[in-house]
Amino acid sequence: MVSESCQFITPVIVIVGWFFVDWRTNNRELRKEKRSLIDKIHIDIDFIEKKAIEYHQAEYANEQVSKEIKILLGRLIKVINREELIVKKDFWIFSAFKKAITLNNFDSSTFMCQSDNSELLDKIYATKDSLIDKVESEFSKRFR
Amino acid sequence: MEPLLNNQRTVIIFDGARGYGSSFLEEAFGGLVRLGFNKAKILETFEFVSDNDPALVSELIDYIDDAESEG
Repeated sequence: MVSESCQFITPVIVIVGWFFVDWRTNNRELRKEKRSLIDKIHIDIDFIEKKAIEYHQAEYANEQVSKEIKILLGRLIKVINREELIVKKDFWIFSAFKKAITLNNFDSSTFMCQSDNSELLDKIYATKDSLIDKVESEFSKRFR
Repeated sequence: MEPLLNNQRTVIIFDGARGYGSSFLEEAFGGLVRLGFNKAKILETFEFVSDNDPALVSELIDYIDDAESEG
């Protein structure tokens, strides 16, 4: 009787163990994938910030740079949305970053070159930090 | 503005363009409020669709709200 039970239990343990190991491996791989995606997002956000500073500190409103910024922001939100890097209720954090760059002094006939300590640039730095912080906290919540 | 004046329900699809600057969105939709249309009327007339940028619709509703509170 006992040996019959053992015969049954052993394969069950093997199967459960296999599922557990498989689940852990998948999870680890998914974490790695998300990590490298987030590292790439950091580079993209840094680049958008760089372009935004370049735009707002230029001598004139450079239409080419403004177009590039809009395209880059559009690509960024697509990836954030598709990969669920932040939850929908926190999308306003992306909007705040976008607004900081493109609401004032942007595509405007009254463009003014911004000084290093301007409020507009400070807002860009602050909202960028909040966006990166949100992406990182979502990652930590899901994978730690 | 025409749909608002003619009470004509209109769907605005934002997908397909290469991004929108916030200044443009504010000018367009906050501008409607400054022209005298209220939020209820604007939302009753327009349906906003943006599959590519899900943050966009709430962003432009913010501009409508901000323009109303400023007015």
